[in-house]
Amino acid sequence: MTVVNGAGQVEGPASAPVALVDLLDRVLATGVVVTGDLTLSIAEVDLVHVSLRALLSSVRARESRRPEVEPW
Amino acid sequence: MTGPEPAMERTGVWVHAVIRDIGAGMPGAGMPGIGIPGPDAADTGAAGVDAAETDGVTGVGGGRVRAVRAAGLTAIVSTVDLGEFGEQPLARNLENVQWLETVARAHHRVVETVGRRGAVIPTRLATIYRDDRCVAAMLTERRADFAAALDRVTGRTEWGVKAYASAAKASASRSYASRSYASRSYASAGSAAGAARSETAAAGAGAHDARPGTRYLRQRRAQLSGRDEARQATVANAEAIHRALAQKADADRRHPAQAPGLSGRTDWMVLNGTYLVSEDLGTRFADAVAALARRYPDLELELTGPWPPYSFAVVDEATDR
Repeated sequence: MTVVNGAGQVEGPASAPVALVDLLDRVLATGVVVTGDLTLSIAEVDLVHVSLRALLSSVRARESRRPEVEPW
Repeated sequence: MTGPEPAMERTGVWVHAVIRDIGAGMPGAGMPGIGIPGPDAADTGAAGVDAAETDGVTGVGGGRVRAVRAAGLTAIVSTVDLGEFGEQPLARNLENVQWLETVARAHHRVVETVGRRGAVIPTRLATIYRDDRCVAAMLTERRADFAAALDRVTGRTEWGVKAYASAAKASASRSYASRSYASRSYASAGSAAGAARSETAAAGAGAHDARPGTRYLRQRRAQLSGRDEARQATVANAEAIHRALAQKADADRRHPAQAPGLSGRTDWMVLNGTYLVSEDLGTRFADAVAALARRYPDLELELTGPWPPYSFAVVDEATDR
């Protein structure tokens, strides 16, 4: 089991960085959904999908340099 | 990129979070690094306090973090360049993982800093308004929603618990299950009624049982069924873990499982849960996770937190996924 400080435990920027993928779970999919007037066309689902696509392609680029491991 | 954006302001206002009103006319009071605009400053968007830089708290565009106050609420905002954060550049930039990471972490830093002071409602990434006046209008319009959400998260933080069926543990239990099923299937050869699965029976009954091809097919099917069974047991354990943790929390949610490889792991993620827990019960919650990890040794549990209550700050439950 790993314990990561997400917030509050350590003052200042010295706290352990949270994993990007855990952060995106939270900042993209949740939080207050108020529609900013400049982002009307970026619907909430689009925002998640667009960012996930970017993440996945970056992971694939990384994975292609490693041997494949068959997922379950 | 180089072309002008006609009829468009150069800057927008990125909203990081909403908190209860932090009081008038006392720049930075009780809020290190975040300035409070004076009565006149809100309209110009020029308000802010130098402490922002000294504290290292900057907004997503690297600019100062400011406060916009209305309706008994305070929005923590920063000014962003529309050349980077306007609708079209934003859509492009979100495809760039480095950009996304920088922005997400900057946003998180602000939310985290604000959250240390008290109840915070983080806004979703890329909530951008034309100017402070629009932000104030939004606060006024949704004041009841924000008040309810603030009440919900006051004195509470969020903890994430992920459960992985790790590759080594999973394949061990998988082969065990496969073996037991294969042998059972083999033992029941010659008795169609004894075959565990109907498709096995259909594939080859009676006299054909002894044929190697049939036997292979039967074993293969049994293997796959064994794998299914192992998966179901794993899922059931993850459900039990989630239920146990939900009982220790004031609210719970499940995020979709992260795609294998996203976090650098290829293990199967069976649970991506998140729990709203009283601040003073955080240690007890972590202990509960540790106890569950011991009770379900086939699953690897990962605890993250405490987080600002991102997953429980939804103002409109209807838009919740």
